[in-house]
Amino acid sequence: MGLVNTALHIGRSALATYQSAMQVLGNNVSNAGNPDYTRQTSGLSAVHGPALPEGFQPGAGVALTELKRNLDESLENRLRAAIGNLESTSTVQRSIGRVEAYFDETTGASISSQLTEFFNSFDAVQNDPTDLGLRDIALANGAQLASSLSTLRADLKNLGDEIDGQIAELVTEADRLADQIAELNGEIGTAQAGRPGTAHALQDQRDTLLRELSELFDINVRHQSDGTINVYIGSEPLIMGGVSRGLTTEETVDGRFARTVIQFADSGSPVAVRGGQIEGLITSRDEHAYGRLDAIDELATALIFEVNRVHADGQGLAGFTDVTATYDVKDTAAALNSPDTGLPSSPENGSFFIAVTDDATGTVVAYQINVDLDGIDDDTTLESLAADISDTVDGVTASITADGRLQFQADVGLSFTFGHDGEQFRQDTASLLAALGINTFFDGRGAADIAVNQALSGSPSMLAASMVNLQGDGSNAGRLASVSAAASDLLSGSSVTEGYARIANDVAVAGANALDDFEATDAVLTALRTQKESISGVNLDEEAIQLLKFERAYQGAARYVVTVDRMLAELLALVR
Amino acid sequence: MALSPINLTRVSFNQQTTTLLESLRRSTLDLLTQQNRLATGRAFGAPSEDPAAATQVLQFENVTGRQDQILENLQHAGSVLDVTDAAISEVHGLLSDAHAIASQNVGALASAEEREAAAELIADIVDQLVTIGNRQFNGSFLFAGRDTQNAPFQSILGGVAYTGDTGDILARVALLEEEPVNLSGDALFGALSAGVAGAVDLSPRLTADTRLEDVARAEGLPLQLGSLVIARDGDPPITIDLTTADSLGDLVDLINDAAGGLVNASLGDDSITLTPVGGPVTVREVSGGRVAADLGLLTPDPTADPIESTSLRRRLTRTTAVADLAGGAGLDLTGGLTVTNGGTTATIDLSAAETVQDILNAINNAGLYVTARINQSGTGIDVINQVSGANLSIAEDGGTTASQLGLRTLDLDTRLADLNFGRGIETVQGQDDLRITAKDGATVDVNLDDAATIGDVIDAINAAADEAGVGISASLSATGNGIRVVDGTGGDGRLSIGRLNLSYALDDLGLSGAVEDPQTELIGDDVNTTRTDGVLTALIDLERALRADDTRGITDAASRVNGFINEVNRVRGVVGARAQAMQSRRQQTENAVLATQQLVSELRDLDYTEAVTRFQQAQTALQAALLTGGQSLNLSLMNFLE
Repeated sequence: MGLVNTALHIGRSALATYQSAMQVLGNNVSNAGNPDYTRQTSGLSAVHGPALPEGFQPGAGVALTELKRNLDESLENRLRAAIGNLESTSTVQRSIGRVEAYFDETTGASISSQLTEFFNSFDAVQNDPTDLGLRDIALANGAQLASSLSTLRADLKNLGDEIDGQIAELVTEADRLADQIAELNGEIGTAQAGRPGTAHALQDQRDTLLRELSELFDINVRHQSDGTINVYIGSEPLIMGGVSRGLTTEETVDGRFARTVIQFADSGSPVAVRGGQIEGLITSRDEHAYGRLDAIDELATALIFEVNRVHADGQGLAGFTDVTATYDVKDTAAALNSPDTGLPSSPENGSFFIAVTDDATGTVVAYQINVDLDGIDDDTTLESLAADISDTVDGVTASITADGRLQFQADVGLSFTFGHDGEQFRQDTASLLAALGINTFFDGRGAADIAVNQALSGSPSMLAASMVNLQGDGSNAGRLASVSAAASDLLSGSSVTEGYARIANDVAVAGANALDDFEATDAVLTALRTQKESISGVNLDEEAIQLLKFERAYQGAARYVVTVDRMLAELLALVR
Repeated sequence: MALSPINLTRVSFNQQTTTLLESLRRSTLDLLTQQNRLATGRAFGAPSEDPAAATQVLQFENVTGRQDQILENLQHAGSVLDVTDAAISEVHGLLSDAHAIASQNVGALASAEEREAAAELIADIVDQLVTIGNRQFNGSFLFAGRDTQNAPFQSILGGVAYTGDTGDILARVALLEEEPVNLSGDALFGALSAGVAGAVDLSPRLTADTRLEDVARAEGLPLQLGSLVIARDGDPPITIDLTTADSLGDLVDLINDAAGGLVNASLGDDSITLTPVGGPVTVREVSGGRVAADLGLLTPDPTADPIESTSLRRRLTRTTAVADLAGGAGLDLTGGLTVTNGGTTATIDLSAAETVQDILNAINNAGLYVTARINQSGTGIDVINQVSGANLSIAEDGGTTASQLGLRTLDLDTRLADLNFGRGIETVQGQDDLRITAKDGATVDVNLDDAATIGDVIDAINAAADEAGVGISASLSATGNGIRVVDGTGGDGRLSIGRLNLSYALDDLGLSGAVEDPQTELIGDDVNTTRTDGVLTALIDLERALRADDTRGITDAASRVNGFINEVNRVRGVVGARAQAMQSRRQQTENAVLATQQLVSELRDLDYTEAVTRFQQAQTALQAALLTGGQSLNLSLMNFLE
């Protein structure tokens, strides 16, 4: 009979369905504050039922036939990409902020003002070349500049190393996330087998992990029909169903720096990471830490060479009785412009002068030493040079130390100078003295080891201020001051001052760009998040309205059951 | 400000909170930035906040940093010039005093005793000038050129020697400009002689080691190296880059290395020769080049003949080998030199000299206060007399060394007009000037009307002797300087030379004080000695003339002293102009620094009005966000459910 079976069944279905719908709603409300939650909507539909005696079929009540996750998968993909970009740009922005702080161009202690001070102090020496105090200041300014460059380099090196360490940590984290995602994938596959829409909480968890993974690097997510996903880095798969290939790192040393390289754990093949914190860290490490470090090294090398080249052609207040080169030659039998020498700068075909002074009479005898490096016939080697000097120059012996440095020793009562022939200035056209580190201002090859030449640091009188070996002549100090603005081949035609300004400006521009990039990616992410929230987020007012609606429907169904019950009672009374 | 886009269909509870959080983040960040600006007074805290402005600030600060130093340089230069000016002013005063003293003693009224006393005063003035010349500033001798640690003036050899340097001390007065700030003792007092200019071009031959900077084309133009092309018909042309060459040897090596199959390059004494091998060649320029033409090697038409470069001049340097001199013939320096300065004579042995510097060092170390140096044009050696009031004579020591070096003060080529410090010799026109009386009593009368050089005088004597048939011969003395007259007559009398027709030629040729021993020869004096033509020489001459009671000498010296008063005025003017220039440069630089600082300030310093306004805005924005956020989050339908 229809009334007992069908009518009560209709009421029961409504009561059950609205209770379920209430649960869904309750779940929504309870997750209103959970940003990773995806709003669920109950899908209600009428139940097909038996025909009325009249032949019509009104249906057999209501049923919850679908539980919908309000999620746009394509938006989710874009969101993950945007998260990756934001993490990348914000990582770079933080790193460049630190680099900028190292450069510290807004205070008076910056390297650019130290460069100015350094070159200024040569002007002061030129004004009064015999004032040892002024010479001391020039040496102290040189030492300060050298130490600042070394410190800056060390800061950048430490930053790079630190970032490299972070990369390794993040890869471990990514590996853990990939494992978890693969595990969830398996669970979702099992749970959803034949019953889609049954593992929404697990999917939410997985989406959260995917977002966390995309914070580290860009991933592509492809959904499978069984509810599982495959995750790719570029075109290389990382997670296939319930299996993660795993990620690992390897430390490689390229050139001078140790760099962490990311690999797939199973095959050891390298991972081309794009986007995310890891890319941001790689960019920070390579461009902003090691890259700026390279630029500083280049600048320091140019500073050393350009200052030394001028200094080597000058004379101090006294001559040398002995001098040892600061740079060692690895292969003393190799042509001096060969890379086998391991010299920081390469001498050229040319010649230089040694002037020997008899300290008792002041008599100067100069000697021209040829440095044959034209690649024709026998080129000059360190050994042949030492032999040539010892042969040619009366009173000065040239020898090679055990570690490959050229050494000059004058006989008793004699001293020697470079860069003049006793009457006029004579340039070292071979740039040999600067290349070997004889009569130079700076020692070292780059920012790491730049320092004032030991031979000078204790004896300011040896600062080569003169070009004609007269104590009151400061013209070489003037030339040294001019190095500040002189074009250097090592800096592609910029001067040392310009070269440093360019590096500092690059940092400033990179900082501004990084901030702009961050703002732009942040705007994109915010827009996407808003869109996602607009689809997936819980609105409490909406839920409250639904609450009222379902409550009223439930009340109606209950009232209907009571009514049917009363009808049944009436019917039973007839029987009595 | 990237806040949420508002074309949305629905708003979630989360969205409301994140929007509020985002706007709070931005507002507080903005507030902090403005606060930071207001606290520091800077328009930007880090360069990345405004890279364009930061770049300019960095550039400007580099410039002002250098300019600050330049101001110090100018200040230093100014004070040196001021001290110099004060010293010159004292010199001027002393010279005026000397001139006054000389004027009082010019007339015949002054007695010998008075002149002796005046001479003492002049000697005192010379001493005072030496003191001024040795004046120190900041521990450096002001008038010593670049040799600032050694006193430049000292009394020696009966005069005053200047042993300082003549070079300029430079100070940077602009970023790319240096100006001299000193005045050497030479410029102050005219303390160095014009020198015995080497009369001989020592023309060293070309060698493989010769640096290209020491080589000039015949016109004196420097070599400017680039590339040239050597070609043979049928073969690809060969371009040779010569820019890496440092010496002539390199040049030849480069050509032979690159084009050895076409030509054989070789170095001659004054040129480079390309000898074609295996067929005619052409030598051309690279496009736009001019090396081949400069070297005189340009040969547009094929030739199989040797191609010789234009004649190349090698500059004389201290390291030039003696054997390379005289076009490669070398010099015979075995004879040595006899140098006399201020009455002191030294014999200089040059036999061991291997290079030019050995010659120069030997002369400079003789202790005679002379400076031997290579002349400006790099052709020979000059010897400068450092001593004011002393006469320098350079003569042979039995050989030909002085002549070969072109240093002999009295030589056959010496012009009579140059003798006696440019006074020349005074002859009697149309009449005989000298009479030489031989030992046998025969006489030779010599007319010097047509003589222009010492050689002419000697020729005239010999010609007159021949004509008279007297055994008299004249020559230049082999040892020392002076005309040597030898008597070959073998008589018992005395060889003597006397004047005729009141001619002064006898005195002017240095033959009046003739030596008598040995009896057969008579050697004259060097009448072409060199001395400095300066203030000190004039004063020393004045002093000597006063002591000698020599009215003509006093008059002469007084007029020279007067001339030098004008000269000192001129020098003072030069120094004053320099000081003035330094002053105006200083003013200009200060203005430039100020202008740059203003620019820096505009770029870097905070516009407070704007910053305060922005701070207010940020504050308002934060308040609004807090207010609206608090209220909208409180609104919920849940409030109305029972």
